[in-house]
Amino acid sequence: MQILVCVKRVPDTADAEVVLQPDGSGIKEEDLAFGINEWDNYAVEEAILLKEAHGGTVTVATLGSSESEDVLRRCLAMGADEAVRVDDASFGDADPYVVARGMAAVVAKGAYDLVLTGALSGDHGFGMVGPVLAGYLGRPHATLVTSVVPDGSHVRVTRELEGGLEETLRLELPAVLTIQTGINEPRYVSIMGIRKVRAKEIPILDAAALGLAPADIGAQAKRIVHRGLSAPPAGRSAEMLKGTPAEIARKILDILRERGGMA
Amino acid sequence: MLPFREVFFNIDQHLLFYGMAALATAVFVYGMVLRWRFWSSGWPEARDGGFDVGLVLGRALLNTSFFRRDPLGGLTHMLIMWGFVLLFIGTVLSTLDHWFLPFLSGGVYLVYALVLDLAGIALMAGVALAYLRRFVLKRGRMQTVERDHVVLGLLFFLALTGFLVEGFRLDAAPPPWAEPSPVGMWIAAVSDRSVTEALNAHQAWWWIHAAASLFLVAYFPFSKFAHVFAAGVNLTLEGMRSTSFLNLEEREALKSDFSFRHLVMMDACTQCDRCTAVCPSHAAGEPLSPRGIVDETGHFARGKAGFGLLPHPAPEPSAAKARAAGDQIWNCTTCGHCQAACPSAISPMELIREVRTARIEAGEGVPENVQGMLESVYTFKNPWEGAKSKRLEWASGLDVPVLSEGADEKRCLYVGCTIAYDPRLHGIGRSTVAAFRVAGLGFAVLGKEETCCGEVVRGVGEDGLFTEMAAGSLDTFDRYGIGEIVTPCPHGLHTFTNHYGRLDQAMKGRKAVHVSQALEAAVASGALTLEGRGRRKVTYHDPCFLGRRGGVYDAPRNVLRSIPGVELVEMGRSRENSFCCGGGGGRMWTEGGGEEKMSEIRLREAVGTGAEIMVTACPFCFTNFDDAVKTAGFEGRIVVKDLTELVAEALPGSNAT
Repeated sequence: MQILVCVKRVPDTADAEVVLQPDGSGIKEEDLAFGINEWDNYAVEEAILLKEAHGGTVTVATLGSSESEDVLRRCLAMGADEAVRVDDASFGDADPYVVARGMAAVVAKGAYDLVLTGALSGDHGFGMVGPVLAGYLGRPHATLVTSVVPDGSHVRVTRELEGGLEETLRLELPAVLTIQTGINEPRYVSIMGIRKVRAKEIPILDAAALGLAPADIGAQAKRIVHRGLSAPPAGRSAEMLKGTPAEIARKILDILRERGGMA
Repeated sequence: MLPFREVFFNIDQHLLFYGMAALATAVFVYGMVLRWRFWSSGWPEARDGGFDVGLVLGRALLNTSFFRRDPLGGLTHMLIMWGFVLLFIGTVLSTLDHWFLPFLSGGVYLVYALVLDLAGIALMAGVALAYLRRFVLKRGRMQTVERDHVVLGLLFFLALTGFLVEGFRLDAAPPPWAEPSPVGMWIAAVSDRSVTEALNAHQAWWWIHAAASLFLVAYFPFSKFAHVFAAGVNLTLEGMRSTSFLNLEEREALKSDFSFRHLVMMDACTQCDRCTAVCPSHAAGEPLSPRGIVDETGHFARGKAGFGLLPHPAPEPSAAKARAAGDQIWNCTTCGHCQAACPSAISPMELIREVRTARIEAGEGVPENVQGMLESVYTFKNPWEGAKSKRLEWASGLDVPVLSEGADEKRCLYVGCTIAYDPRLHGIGRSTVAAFRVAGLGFAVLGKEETCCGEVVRGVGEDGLFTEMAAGSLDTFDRYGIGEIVTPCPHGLHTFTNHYGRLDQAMKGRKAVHVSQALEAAVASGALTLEGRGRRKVTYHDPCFLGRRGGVYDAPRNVLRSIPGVELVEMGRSRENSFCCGGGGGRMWTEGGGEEKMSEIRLREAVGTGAEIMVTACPFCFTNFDDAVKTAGFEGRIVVKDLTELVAEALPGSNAT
């Protein structure tokens, strides 16, 4: 099975204080740590598990500057066979449509049975690249996938729905799947492992190499207009409880009972 | 007529005996060659010391390590060892006397005969004591398997048959002088045989004794007896401060799983269980046996190297080092008590770390939380997923000089990740700053440029990431021309002192000290005078990485004693016998699944001293004991404080009580 996984380098903002640029155009990046998007990490692991069980190859692709190389090398160290980086100034500040367009061009250059993406990205969180990509490719897709089982010319997948429900689908290959966290336990990649793939060549594909015209990927191709970032206004529903730990615990219990949080 | 003993008395088939001896010696040499080949299959390690006469001879010949921790065990080992050694020397002397230079006659012979009789008695008494310890007193958790009976039984049998041979000889041909062989003379007296019967009995037992002795020679390198050589080699290597440190690329290129010394350790181990007896994880009921680790890694390594009577076939493909010894390896706190307790200087801890490295490199079976911690170090440069922007939060409002902001200072206060990112521990950093300011000790911090020193990373076996983190820290130290690093974290201290030096960049004469040492010096020079805050009974817990692994025992105690009103009481297990809080070796991130927590076991010991304050000098210890006060229900009875906090309270002008 030939698998392509789309990955993205994102800042880890779980514990960091995110500071906006004064003009709201973005966030300050100096003090932030960057790495592979969490969902993508699960997608790469899933691809490698599929390869280990059924044979084939895994290729990882990203759209980004040379800073994204580390993310690709980490994927190679995990067990991906090839990596490609799409980089062209004309992509500019790509929106999910443009990213999907670029990835569709990468898919077209190979013969992939399965294309995996993370269900979401940790930065913008649109969750769109996978479905839009499937649209461009004209292939079936499933989102929030929590299990993948190849079944001849098809693939059986489980999707995570609201309220603890699961949906099982059977899709015809080739297909696009967006992977949910928790589908597997991504393996540890040691520094030595990353160093071993240091010399591996990662081809850089520009718009020309992908056969994309400026009209396909430039500003005019964007469908989402970024107006600015702002912090949400402080809400008023937050209440600070005061007292000894025992009193606070009592108050929390009362609140939970009152709001139906406890039977 | 001068007293002497006729060699080959009553024995005619000399050639048969020499033939058997030659065969036994050949097997012995073959076995030793195999051992040597096994050891040499490991990679060579870094050595930066010479032959430590005191260490090797003290431990090997005087058994100092046994006596210090276990006097009865020391006596047992001493009797067996010296009984055996003297009898062996006696045999060698007899051979020299017979073939080269006759000297065993007259007074010399009388002394010789007496010493050998006493040696035989010592050997038998030693074996008897060993059985007493194993089966009656049941010391420790020593396991006895068939081959232990072979070894002990053989020694006893040799001494016994030796005495029988001697007794029947003296019975058949009583010497005209008073033979100084009490046991032989007694056997001769009670044997009550005719001369012919005594000669026959002598001949029969002589051959039995000879055959058993030669069997021992042949069996020696294939049995626990081999520890005689392996332990000697290992003690020598310990004195040379051999360590397995070799970067991973070089290690992989060598295609071996363990270092020369690791393999020697495996052969030096007699499974005496002294390591497991002091293991804190084992004491807490967690599935970890340092003795078992040495046994299992040894079994694995010997199987793979093809060590045995006959060369083994190539190991099956599934023989992966990563799987040797199972999941118990993740329970080790790297407290170092096992290696300190081992009379032969074996380090089960180092073997554990080695297997951890294999697991990390294979990417399999790495506990989720350990993996998360490593990924945090990789991404955030600290194990707590702390944002760089929050690195200096601990010092907010203190206006500490920061090197990247132009502070001109050669002394770097390195608080480390755990103090920087845990609000409960900020007090340690703040107290240190307060004390340094009063003492007039200049310092600056790295601020956002301070990154993980790599200790926790190395502890769980991620050597590649360790080298990377260490290189980063060393670059930063170089950039600011730092001459001295002061840290309140013993884990940082240990890493700077013992591991950075082995890297290519090295420390370049830079020294690292613990805050307690800096404070001790300030108190001693009069720069820092501490004031009393009433009478208080305190007990001090030696953090493993400051005490056992860093050799700093007195500095914190001296600082405590300089505080008026402080009465320092010691716990039963202190200094090099200190009991680990359970925080080292990545255990801050994992649960061991034991019956109780190491921190609670230790806290109870502290409470038992009647102390109202338990003082420690390590952020991991502080966190674990502070938690244990709550989980074990000791709130109101004891409080946990870091040394620096107690010092800050006692600073002149401090209004803390």
